[in-house]
Amino acid sequence: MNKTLISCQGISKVYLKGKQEIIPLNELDLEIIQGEFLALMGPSGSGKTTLLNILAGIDSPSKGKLYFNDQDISQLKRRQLTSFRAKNMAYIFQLYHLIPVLTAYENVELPLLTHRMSSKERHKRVCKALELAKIADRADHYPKQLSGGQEQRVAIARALVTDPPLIVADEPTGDLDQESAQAILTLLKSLCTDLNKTVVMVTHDPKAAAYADRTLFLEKGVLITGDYNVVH
Amino acid sequence: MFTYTLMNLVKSPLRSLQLFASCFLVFMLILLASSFQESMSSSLKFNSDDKNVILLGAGSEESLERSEVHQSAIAAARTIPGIKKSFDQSAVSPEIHYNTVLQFNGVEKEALIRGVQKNALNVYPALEIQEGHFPNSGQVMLGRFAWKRLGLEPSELSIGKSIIFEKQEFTIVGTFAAPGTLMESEIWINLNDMISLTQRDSISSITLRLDQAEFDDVDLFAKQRLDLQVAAISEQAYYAKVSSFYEPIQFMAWLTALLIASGALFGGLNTFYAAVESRKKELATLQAIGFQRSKLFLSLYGESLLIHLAAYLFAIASAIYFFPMVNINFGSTFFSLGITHIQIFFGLALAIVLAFVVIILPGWHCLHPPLNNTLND
Ligand SMILES: Nc1ncnc2c1ncn2[C@@H]1O[C@H](COP(=O)(O)OP(=O)(O)O)[C@@H](O)[C@H]1O
Ligand SMILES: [Mg+2]
Repeated sequence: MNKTLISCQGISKVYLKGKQEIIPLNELDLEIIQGEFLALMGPSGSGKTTLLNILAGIDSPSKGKLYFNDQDISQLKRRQLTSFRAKNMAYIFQLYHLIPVLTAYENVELPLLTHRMSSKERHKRVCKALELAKIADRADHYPKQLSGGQEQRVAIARALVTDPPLIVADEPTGDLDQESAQAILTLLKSLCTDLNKTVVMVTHDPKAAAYADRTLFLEKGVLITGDYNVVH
Repeated sequence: MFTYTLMNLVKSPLRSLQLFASCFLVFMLILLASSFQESMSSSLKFNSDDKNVILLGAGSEESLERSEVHQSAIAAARTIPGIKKSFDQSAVSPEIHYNTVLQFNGVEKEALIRGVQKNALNVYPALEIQEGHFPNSGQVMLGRFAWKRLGLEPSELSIGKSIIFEKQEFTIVGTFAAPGTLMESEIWINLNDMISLTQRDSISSITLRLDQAEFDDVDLFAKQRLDLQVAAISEQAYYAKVSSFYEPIQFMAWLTALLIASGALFGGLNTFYAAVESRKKELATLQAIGFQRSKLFLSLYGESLLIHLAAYLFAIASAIYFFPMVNINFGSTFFSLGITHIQIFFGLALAIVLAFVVIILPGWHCLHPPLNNTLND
């Protein structure tokens, strides 16, 4: 039985737009287990990205506690949170967000530059990540020379290279054709089954969500269904 | 990370070039203005000797060329006690400073000529005849940089060549050096020739070299001998006055340079802003990956610094190479532009500071807002 990786306790997020309060997340409780593939669904504006950002340490909750491996990260300062992200999480974006001036190899190498590591070790890790993402043959290509699916594979390699326990993905297949989308989803799924990574994925597409071990529905900042069927 | 810094420059060569060009323009203009001021000031500074006093026509103390002194003042000046003497000759140099048009090999050139007696050598100890001898009647002697001021080749003014002055032919018989002074760009002829050619009955000035006497003694002499209608001014005071006369021109040079430079600077600033702004999302991604903002700011600074340093080096190299070729003939002064160590040092400091200044605003704009805003908008 895998242990709990993330525990959210009464998490709320409040944004101020002038005098108006926007509450995209309201008193949310959630447990995420090491090695599970979790899908987050919900209508537009329901707070999915906000939740994902908080889980990924991009944003901090306004209220509540967020435990990551039993460490409370909800109170960390921006600088500390950045270091924490470097070690523990990776983000996969809908539009890949690769650095256009760097090759696929260099893009994947980037996160390692925030770690102390010999260049030999770095090289080994980048090659391994590119292979895991099945994109090693395009290592020397620049992002604009790659298809969307290939770009997303590079982004996945970039996420894997630091070997973080958590990978979050915001509509990672939202911009891909059916075939590429399926390949990417299969790849994400294999990260959980083969490498014991925890993947939290936001998606609009029920077919994509079907790849997940569990799907949660958000509406107006509240989780409405907790379909709990851990495969492991 | 250095690769990232570098590739951002290499991968958009047009933008980098544009930034380089505007930085280069800024440095070049500032170097030009500072060189103009520096070189002009130093061309005037070294003329003065604290032991020399000039007697000028009363009421025309502002210009050697316009001053008129009656010849009877020469003998009177020799009687001032405490003037330097060598071999019984008082160090008193009656002179005519004359702006005219000369002919060299059929080519007409404007030139400043000084009519002098051999005694001038006692008054200007810095002056040294390098080649040939002091001119007798029908002869001239040239400062070693006279060719520059005339815009001729040194070979056109070598000893033995001739010059036409007021339809009379003069032979070049000597060259002299007087380091750092304007005399080095002058043409000297015999005072008697000058008097007869210009049909003047007066001279321009009398320069005296003090020994035991002080300036006040000469000043007193000038004030007591009202009949001579002369005024005494120390050489230092005279050239300080000339210098201050040129200050507004130096100011205008700076103003013009700074106006154009700030135009170029704003152009550069704008390009930098757009360049960084277009990478807003990229910078957010790098933060998401785990790069601290300080490190990203440093990377932006690195980019900016590389461009500024490259532009600075190119500007300094161009200035060192080209400036000495620029000869400026300006009223009573003449100089070539030069680059001093101080300019090199300040230029470098400016490059380092400017590189920082231009990224403050775009850097702040991209790195300050909450990460989720820049990442998701
Ligand atoms: N930085 C922000 N400032 C103000 N309001 C925001 C901000 N980010 C998100 N919101 C608001 O929070 C709500 C949820 O947004 P989001 O989490 O992006 O929804 P989803 O990803 O489910 O479409 C929306 O109403 C959105 O306008
Ligand atoms: Mg969203």
